[in-house]
Amino acid sequence: MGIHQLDLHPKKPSNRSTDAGRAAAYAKGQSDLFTALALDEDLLELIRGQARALYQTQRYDECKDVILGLLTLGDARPEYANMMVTCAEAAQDFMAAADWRAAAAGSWMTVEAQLPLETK
Amino acid sequence: MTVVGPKNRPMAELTALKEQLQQLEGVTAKSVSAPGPEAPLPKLDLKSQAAGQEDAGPRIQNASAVELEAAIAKAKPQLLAQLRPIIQQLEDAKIPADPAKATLAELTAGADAIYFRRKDIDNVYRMLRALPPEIQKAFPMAQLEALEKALKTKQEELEEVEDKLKGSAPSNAPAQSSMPYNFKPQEVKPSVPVLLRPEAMPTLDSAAQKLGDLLSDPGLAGAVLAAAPAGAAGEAYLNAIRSAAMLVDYATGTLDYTKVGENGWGIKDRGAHQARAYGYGDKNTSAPRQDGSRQALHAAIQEALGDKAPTKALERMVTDRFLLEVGIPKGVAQDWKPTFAAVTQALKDELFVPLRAINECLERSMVGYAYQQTDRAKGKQISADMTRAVSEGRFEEWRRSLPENVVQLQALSDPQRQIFFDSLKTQAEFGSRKISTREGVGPDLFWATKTGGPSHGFDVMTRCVMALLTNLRTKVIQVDDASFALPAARAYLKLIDRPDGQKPLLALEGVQFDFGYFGDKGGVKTQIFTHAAQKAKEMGLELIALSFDYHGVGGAMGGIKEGQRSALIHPVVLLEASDYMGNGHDGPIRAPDKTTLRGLIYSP
Repeated sequence: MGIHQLDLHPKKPSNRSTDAGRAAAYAKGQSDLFTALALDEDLLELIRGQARALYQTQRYDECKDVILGLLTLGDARPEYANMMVTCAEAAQDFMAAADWRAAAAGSWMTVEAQLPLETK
Repeated sequence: MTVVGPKNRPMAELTALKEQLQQLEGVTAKSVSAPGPEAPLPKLDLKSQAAGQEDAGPRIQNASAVELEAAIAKAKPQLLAQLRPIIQQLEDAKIPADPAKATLAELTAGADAIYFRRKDIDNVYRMLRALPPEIQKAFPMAQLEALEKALKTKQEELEEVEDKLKGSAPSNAPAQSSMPYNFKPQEVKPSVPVLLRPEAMPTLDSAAQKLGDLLSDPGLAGAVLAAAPAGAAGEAYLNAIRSAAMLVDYATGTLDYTKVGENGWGIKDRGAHQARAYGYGDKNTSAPRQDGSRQALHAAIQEALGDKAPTKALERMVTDRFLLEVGIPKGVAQDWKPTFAAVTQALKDELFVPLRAINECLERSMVGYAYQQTDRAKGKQISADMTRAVSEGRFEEWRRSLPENVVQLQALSDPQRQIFFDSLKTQAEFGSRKISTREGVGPDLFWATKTGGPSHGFDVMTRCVMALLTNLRTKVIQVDDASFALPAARAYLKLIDRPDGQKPLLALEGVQFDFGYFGDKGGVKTQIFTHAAQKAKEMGLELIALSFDYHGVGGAMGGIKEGQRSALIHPVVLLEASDYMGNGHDGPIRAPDKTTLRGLIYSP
């Protein structure tokens, strides 16, 4: 393969590469999962989009898995709790739904506390 | 999320948001279970979610999406602290950097921290399964595997030091996690069973040895061998010793449900029970009763061995002590006629734990506005009757003889009733997976609800499992995946009568997957629906699938449409446990009641 072709097809970041240092740090409890996986915001945004798509197409079982994954990766947003309420209700898990409903109310209050006072 | 909007939204837009919110609130379990073609999809955007918060003040209601995004970014650590504990407790424990210098407490805390980290990785695996291949390719899979490997190595390192500190050599037993949890989705195996099975005692020597070990009496094995009768009677004696050993194993290993109560939220499936993966607190609480049982059984066995007819004496001892151990007080069973064969079968079928849990938890479980004192008294009576029926070897016969059950099935003709009772079996291949279905019969029913949930089971909301055990109209479809050791999933199939002499129908409820099952869930749903449809066809009845789980799975079958059917719900033996049959049908049903069922209808 000529160098010009290499330029046309730049090597994509491989999902098969590993970083032993990060893995060791994670196993010692010195870093979180997001850091250990060296994830970036763009990938998270893609995953969030998938969660929304699954939710809006009423695939709640899978939507729930994605949201739990996002929370595990440290991505916390108040609407996740609202989505989880619907997912739990669809799975007939009304106790979990009650937990998530309470968490949703608390999350939005937390967000509200961060809004500027002069907002109208 | 890139939602950009003006700070002050016009009234029309706010009205639209409110409408979206109303639609969102309309998405309850019931509307989800059977959406019509025109059913509104739930709307999702940040503003409409925020507008739906009754507790949120005017600042949230009036903030623009950009402001909300900024506030969310700012509040991220607090949000994480609020939301993460719902799925998993936050780990405070430190993982010792140098295990050799750590104390035992630090090592245990470190092992817990690693456990939670491995659970995190499992969550990510689950998430990846729900993502399209493009995102999976972009995800650092190799690094994820490397993290898992690093955690495993660290865990082994900690365990090795822990073993040394405890003064015991590392076990040669197959590697088993200290937590009853399976981490690697595709290689899920249940925990190693520890309960004693008859297969582990092929000869009298081995059975005597086991019995001696269980009762911590090395001399007992010799006494057992010395009392053995010669000739053909030896086989019956061996069976009696085996049963005695199984009874001792259960009595000294099962939890004391009078003390721990309904603790099954943490012990999720049958594999965990087989491995006795109970919490330390529950084990400690149960230890006094287990010690008491050990002493009582030791004395009873020694007495039986000294009898002129040791086999008969052992059989009597096993039968009597079994009833006491599963929570039937002395005196209650005076008129009962338990048989040794039936009790041995119950031990083999692993019914000791469910019976004890039901006898000791049911009355306390029937609390709340729906239950009256008379219901609790009836519950106590029925759990005793059920134990009696099991110990007399006539559990199915007992179910069929209950007057409420005769009414529940009165609309069926004799051939239909026979088909309904028969356990239909189906099998299909989905890719490389062989998925088969069967219907739970007899002892299967006690364990069926430990698959998935934990919506209910004998040790979780004990009252609800009584709906399956007592009501004859309820059957359970169990799914096996050849690559998974425990049942992969289950679903209830109910025979529902209809008013005005219309033909009854079969109603299929939603699927509950085992916690450790990460196989072909779509295939499982398809096979459950196929099973139910075949059953309906054989009985000449319509099938109504009441859960959203089955939308789209029966596409190739034909004759399926959405609709609703009137239903006549007959009174129950004790209670009903169903979220699918309309309001007021999840508890005691004391009089016939009409309702409407909605879902996918298959007309053969």
